[in-house]
Amino acid sequence: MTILVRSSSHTPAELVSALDPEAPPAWSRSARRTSWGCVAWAGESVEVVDRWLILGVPSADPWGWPGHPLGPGELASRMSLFGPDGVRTATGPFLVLDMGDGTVTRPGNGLVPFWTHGRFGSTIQKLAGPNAVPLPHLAHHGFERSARTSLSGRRVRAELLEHRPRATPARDAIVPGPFDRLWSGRAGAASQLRALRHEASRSWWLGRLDDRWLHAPVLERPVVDRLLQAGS
Amino acid sequence: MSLRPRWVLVTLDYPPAGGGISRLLNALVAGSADAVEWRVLTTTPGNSAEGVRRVRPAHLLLALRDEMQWARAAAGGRIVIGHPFLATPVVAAARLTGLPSSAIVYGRELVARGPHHRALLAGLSRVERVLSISDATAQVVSRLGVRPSHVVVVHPALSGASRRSPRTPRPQGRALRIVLVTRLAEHYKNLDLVHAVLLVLKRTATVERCVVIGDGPLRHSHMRAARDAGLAAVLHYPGRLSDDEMRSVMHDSDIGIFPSRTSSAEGGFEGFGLVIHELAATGLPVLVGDTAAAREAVGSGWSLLLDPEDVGMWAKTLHSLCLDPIRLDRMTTAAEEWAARADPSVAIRQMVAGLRG
Repeated sequence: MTILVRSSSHTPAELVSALDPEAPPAWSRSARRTSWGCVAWAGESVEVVDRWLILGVPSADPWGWPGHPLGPGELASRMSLFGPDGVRTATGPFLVLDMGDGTVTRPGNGLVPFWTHGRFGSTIQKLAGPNAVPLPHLAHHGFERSARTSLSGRRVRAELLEHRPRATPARDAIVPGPFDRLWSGRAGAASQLRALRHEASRSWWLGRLDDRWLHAPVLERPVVDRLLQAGS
Repeated sequence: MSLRPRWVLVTLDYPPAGGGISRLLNALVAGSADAVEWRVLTTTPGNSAEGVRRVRPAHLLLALRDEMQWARAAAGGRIVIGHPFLATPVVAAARLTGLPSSAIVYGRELVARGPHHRALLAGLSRVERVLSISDATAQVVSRLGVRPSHVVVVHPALSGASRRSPRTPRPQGRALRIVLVTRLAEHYKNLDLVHAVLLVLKRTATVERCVVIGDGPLRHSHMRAARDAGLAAVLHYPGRLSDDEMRSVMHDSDIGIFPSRTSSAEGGFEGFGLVIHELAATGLPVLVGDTAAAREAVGSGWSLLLDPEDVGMWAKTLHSLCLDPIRLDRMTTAAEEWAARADPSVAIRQMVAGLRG
């Protein structure tokens, strides 16, 4: 479990103490002063490489299945090279904070929640609400097509499962069942994906409470593209 | 009476239709005219041409009867099925007249999309010789009940050097010009990957332009997607171009890409990828999706195989090639040398021999 906070109006010590109501005493705490303020975190799975703070477990598998970690050094190098769009080159539950300017970039799967203008002391309650940092619009992630297609939603699900590594525990990856509306192939795939993306961050949070890292292959680009193509 | 055997090619796709099948069949007929007297029976509309008869689909079998009589008038007559969907009716007609039959098979056309397709493809198991353009295609054919002993694989290496003039070196610091040639009718051609890669590279001045040559029902939605993503200045969809226009764009480009994926959800895969050779024949290095028969089309030194789903790998490869003109030049030279060595007549002779059995 990890909690990350950033602020332009607090000192590192104030931020770390603000984490106390949420983070158990056993969790490690760290803070960094930056040119725009400071950032503090409690818990594990935070890596700082150059100006990039990476929270989570980015994956190198384009389909988003767990088990193919993308090293923080590699992701940081991609962020330096490509800027915020570098998150498009990784999958899995992660977000990146640019300590140079304080901006947070989340990948399109929307798994790791992050809020702006939050108030300390009620983090977990807030995590049940909507994500305040806007996710990339689906139009920048995939496009619902107007042409006829031979793709069907159920076949997209089957194709996704073909790429699943054998050792992947089912409970570590979000893949709705075969009769879920998402796979129906009817128009409106974009709205169903939006709803699922919103719901996925709640599931991710519950997974973290259970000390699991939840991946969402269904919300990564290959599946999103195919579903939007099938949904026309 | 003609000394050459008379073969009738029955096909749905033939020039002026675009696409790999049409180009391959045209190259076969034109390139083997010294060995075979061809007549082409096709449903593709267009201007009349010697030896090419164009009919409506409903009249195809009636017209085939006349052509079979013509073929039987010389020794070695044969019916060549140019599209697998014609297998069942054409094999039945050939058997009635005692003519042997052969078929040329490609990629996606072998994937049945329902009972009617399955019925059309069933005839392939009764064709005497099946010419497959790749090992990947041959595997699909075997699942349709065609005996392996009836299948021969010939890679259609039909492109020789086609450069019009020496390629001018890329000025130092100029971003890459990319070209892609594809039919815009199927999603497995993977234009979504191209969009995603260009978005990632947007801030890096890696790509000056990417031209997607080709047409189809998806062109306008791809154009809209490019515009909505702010890629309209970089990503161009000019539609179908004449051969001269296409060569001009290729000549003015630095690198070709062929990102097709295999998609079981769509039933789509590359049967070979003639375009890979056409790009290399103009002296272009080619980045190729590591999938199906596209793997069989790549050549040493001038191509790189990349995971067709991995945006990061494509973006990093393009970026590193942009920054490494020496490596890009080496690949360009390898493509030019490959094109200079390539002899399309070899593949044509192998294809004719494969069809004859």
